[in-house]
Amino acid sequence: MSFLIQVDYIEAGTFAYKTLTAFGPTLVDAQTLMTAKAAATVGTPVQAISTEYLTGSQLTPFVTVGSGLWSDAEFEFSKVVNGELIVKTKKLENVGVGITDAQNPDLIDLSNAAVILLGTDFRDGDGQGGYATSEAHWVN
Amino acid sequence: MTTLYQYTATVIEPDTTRPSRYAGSANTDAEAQAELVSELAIVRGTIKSVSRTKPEDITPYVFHAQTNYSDAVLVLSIISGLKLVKKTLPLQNISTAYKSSANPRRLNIQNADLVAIASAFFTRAGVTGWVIRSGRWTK
Repeated sequence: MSFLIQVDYIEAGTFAYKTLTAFGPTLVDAQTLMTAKAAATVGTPVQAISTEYLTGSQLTPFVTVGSGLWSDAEFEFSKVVNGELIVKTKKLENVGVGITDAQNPDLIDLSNAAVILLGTDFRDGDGQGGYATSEAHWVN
Repeated sequence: MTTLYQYTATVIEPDTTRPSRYAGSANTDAEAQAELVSELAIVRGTIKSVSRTKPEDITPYVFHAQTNYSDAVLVLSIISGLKLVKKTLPLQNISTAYKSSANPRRLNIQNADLVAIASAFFTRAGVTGWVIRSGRWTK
């Protein structure tokens, strides 16, 4: 397991955004290095994030479907906000072709439970949800 | 609102072994994880790695108060068996207060701030115990 901390900061004088990084085998190790690096760096910190590389039992929820053919697909997610239709698209590679629409092989079955869940769990660039899968097709 | 929670997976495509990346980003940890889980549920392949990114408190990270700065490199070293191992650590925008009084093109490698960086440094393999061998300004 390992941790990476990144602190975005504004460079003094130029106002350019820069990123300071620190790596460690534990979060505390990475934080200690970041504290030391920051103390030597001139600038104004604006945001900090940490990335943990998951291992072992932490990986349990993340599974892909087993065998069979696959292709790339594009999904359309939509919702209505204040009477306005908001549409977002997302392309996914190597999607199992088992979710193909029975009537049209170019399309994806929108009644498939996994496809419905994909829309339910989708979050846009602002982190907002409330979308439903409204269209999906194969792209190659 | 800023999205700071993100789960990212690298998946190896069957047969070709080509890597593809998938991600879920949201305002909460659970929502970001759910987005990635639902994506992977329809994807073929073998998961190579998964990472979780979340916000850190920036308050503990106090930057140097001086306004003059420049880029530099520290050369770190460690004794491994009978071998001297060296590693170059680039540093951006560090205070020019670390200039060596004896040689302005070099850093004062006795300075406590610089020593603290070397002491806290880890390699990807988790190797620690590095000391500063030399330091110089790069521009």
